[in-house]
Amino acid sequence: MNFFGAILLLALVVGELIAADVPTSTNSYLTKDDKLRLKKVLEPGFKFQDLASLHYAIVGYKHMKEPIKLIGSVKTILDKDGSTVAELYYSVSAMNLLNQKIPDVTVNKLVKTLQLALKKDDSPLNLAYVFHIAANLGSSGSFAFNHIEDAMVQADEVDGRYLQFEGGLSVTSLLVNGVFKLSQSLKKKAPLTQLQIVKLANYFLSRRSVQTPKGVANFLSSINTLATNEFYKPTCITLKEDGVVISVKQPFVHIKVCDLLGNPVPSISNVIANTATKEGDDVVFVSKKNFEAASNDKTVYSLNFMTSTPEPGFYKIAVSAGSATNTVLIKVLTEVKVSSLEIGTADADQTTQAKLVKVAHPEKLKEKIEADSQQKLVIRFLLKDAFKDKPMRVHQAFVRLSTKDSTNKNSQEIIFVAEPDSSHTYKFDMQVGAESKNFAYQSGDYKIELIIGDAILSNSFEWTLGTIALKFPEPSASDVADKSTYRQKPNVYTKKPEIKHMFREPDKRPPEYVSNLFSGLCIAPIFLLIFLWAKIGVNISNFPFSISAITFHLGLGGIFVLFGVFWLQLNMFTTLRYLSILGTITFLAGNKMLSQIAKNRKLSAAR
Amino acid sequence: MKSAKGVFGCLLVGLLVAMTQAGGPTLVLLDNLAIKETHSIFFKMLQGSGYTLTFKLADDANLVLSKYGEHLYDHLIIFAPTVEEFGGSMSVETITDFIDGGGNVLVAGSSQTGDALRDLASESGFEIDEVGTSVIDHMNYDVSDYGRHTKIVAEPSQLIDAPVIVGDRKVSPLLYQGTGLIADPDNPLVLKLLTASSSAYSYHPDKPVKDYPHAVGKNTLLIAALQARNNARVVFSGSLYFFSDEAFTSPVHKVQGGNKHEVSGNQAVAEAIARWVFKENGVIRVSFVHHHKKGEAEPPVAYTIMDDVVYSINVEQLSGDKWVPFVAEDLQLEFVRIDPFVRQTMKHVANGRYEARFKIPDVYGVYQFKVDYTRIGLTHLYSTTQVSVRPLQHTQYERFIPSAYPYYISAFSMMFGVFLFSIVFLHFKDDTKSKVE
Repeated sequence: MNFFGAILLLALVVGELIAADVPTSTNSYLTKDDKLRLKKVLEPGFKFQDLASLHYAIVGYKHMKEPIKLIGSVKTILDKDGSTVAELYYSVSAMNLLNQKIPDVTVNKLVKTLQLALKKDDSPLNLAYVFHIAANLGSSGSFAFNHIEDAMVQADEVDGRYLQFEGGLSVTSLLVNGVFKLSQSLKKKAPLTQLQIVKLANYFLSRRSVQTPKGVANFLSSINTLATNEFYKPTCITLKEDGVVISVKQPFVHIKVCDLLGNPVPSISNVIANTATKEGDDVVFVSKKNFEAASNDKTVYSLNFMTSTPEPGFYKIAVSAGSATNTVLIKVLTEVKVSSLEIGTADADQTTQAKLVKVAHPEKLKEKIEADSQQKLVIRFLLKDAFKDKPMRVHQAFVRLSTKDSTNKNSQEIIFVAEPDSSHTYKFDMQVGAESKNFAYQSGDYKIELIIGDAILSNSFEWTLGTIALKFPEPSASDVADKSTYRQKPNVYTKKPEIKHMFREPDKRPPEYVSNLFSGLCIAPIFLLIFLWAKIGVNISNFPFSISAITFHLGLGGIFVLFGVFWLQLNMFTTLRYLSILGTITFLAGNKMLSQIAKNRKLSAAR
Repeated sequence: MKSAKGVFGCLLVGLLVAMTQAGGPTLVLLDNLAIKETHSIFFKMLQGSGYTLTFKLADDANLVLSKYGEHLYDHLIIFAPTVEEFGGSMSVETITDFIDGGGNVLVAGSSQTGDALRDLASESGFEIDEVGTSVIDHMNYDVSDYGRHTKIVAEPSQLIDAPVIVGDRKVSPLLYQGTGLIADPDNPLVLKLLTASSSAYSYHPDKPVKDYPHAVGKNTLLIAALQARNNARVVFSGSLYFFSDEAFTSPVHKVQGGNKHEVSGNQAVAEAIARWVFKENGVIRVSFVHHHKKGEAEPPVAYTIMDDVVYSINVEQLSGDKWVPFVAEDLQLEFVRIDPFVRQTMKHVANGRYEARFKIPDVYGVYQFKVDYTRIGLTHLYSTTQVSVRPLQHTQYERFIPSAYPYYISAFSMMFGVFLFSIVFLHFKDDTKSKVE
């Protein structure tokens, strides 16, 4: 699986780089791992009585030359005149499978029907069916041969590397198989150029990751057809996965030359590296060098690339094997070492010499560096190729300052790029004052890390240099304003703080004994009244036991009780209603009572 | 034969309708039809969950996203990194209209991302790094990368901490190959689904680093998402490779200090992200709101200040086709009159029913019960219920205040006095006078 992935990646990488100069070999072949994986996809087809999967499983196994373990007994053949080309194809191929001869009359009729059908619809799919039928018809099928070119015209080219037909793998596969079957049965060379065959093969190989049994069967049959056709067998020139990365430890470029199925190509005797150019400057570095055949594997050829002491980098090697050529991309690795590194602080205005301390590579600075806003952090370092002891430049030379607590969610990191000068010495200056905005004015301890990385390094590393205590100035007013608006923006994704309503505090009241005292004082007059009345001996002897008098006094008392009830529970309107009734009665009764009293007085006065 | 075909057709249509209800019609735009095959596992997964996928080339002259003001599709997948201009009536504007109309979009770019996607990204709040740039990480690259260390390995811990979007974070490391994204850190709607490690940067792999790279370290976004205010979801991946069959089935082995994993975690994460972006996950709604005074059952016409109130809300979550109770610990209720007067976390009672009990403030006015719940990955839940709060009626004030007893007593003793006096005054018989007589 790993191997397969590697090859595919390589094919992609290489393919992209060499799209311009068209290779005349494929970039990969069918490995054993591929076959195993494909078998796994097919296997369920034998278990389930699903006709389609079973059919494709059988076809697939046949192509892999694997013994078929179980064959379903389901073989029904439609022996009738199919109306569509597809139906015709199925009936003809079915009869062919059963080795039944098709009578000549039927053949003639069939040819006519097919020619008519092609006039109506010459889509790649229809053409493919026709080719297959024609291949089964022997010499009478020659009419279809002229249509091969029509079909090829309809092929779509993708990226200049692949050739496919509309409809994807199934149609392309059916058509290619049909073309080769037809040309084989007619013993004529198919009108396909070598380049077209290579591109078709490239297309099929790019479809290796198919997931359906049908796709696998199609893929296998087409690869088989292309690999074994009599006219032109595509050759694959590719790098072995352990021969891509070249270093002092592994100096060999391993090239695999084989056919599409991974078998050695007997016609090829020597493999030559025509040129090797370093990417970027296009200077020819190696020319006309022979690869040596490996003793244990007939498909592998190797070349010791390090004998010519290449600079680390990417190299394009144009390889030719027989008539096939291809360009492969290899990578020459090296190791980097830090030749010297100095770190320290200096005044931002350059008045004093920088105070720099040397640090050796894996070590860590013991003391903490301190820098305030008037100073700058300075790091100088020189990187050297570990094998050649020459100064070198790398792609990634970053200085990372991060807050020390990495588990904290608010931990921040600020990354700077160190730039090399003409003598390849990397310099990094950070003006603390000018950078304070990037650090959000967060004074404190920061971890300093140096990140050195490059694709051509086998030992890219992150190196913790030490700790720096940065002291930033107070942010200016405008910065504070910016920051506070930023801070005020609520983080919408978190829980908001709870709010409890503050109820108004009740007013402070006088102590209870004061109010009780005054209550006593207030109630005193009525007792005083009763007491004094009792003393002078009041009486109500004049009470006339008339209805009006009793009603009046009850009414008056009722009004006062109503006022009491009003205070306790009634509202004003109900109170007024009751009051109007009570009041009227009391008024009338009072009136009558008073007139009666007045009459009595008059009477008594007259008497 | 014909009738049989008709029946079959009906069945097929029926089936299609059923599928539309489950997943929804989805337009898939591709650079070339080969992508349909190289990403077959992803597409098959979507089709298996009921999406009706319509594959079109991104520069197809007959592309239509909406007809007569109605969207023809619910979702849009753009797996066409290099497209410079969409075909037909499709353009960045129509896609943003589609998003404004609630459509969901999944976009994958590559290091060769074209202008069309670049514009679409900036409309959605992201920025795609320049053409030709890749995310490079010399510390975390896969063993199968023999080239420029652009096939990087992302640890699951670099995923956003939101299981509803990316699923369980206990998966194998992820493979990523493509360009970096940049998002404005102040934009609260952008979610950083997958960020690069500290040692990563986005730059041209074959040119020396001259300028400060656009994206460095953890600021480099690999996959970013946007949930707009109308709950439309947009996911941008800088890598089309991330969704490919190859990435799904490849083993992962970090070169520097990593274990070999048989299969990458891409499939699980891609599936989770797809389910999220097409609104299968993280969709919640309010199904029922009720409020009443404590000890009562029905909501009153108006509340009086300082009433004890009980507010309850039922929240449901979409799971497949069904709505199931949604359970969370951090649902908050606000009682708002211009500003929130009360904000409290609601208690989950049972079956997605939340309850809050509190005392209404002593300030009258028109208030709202407001539940405004936005969490990462969930649709925006917003429910307001307006109620009026009135002051105390005159009978509702406090009675029998001890300090007011002198007043009560003087008033009633006065009334009693008048009553007595009126009797005595009217019916007094002066004995002395009769004595004199």
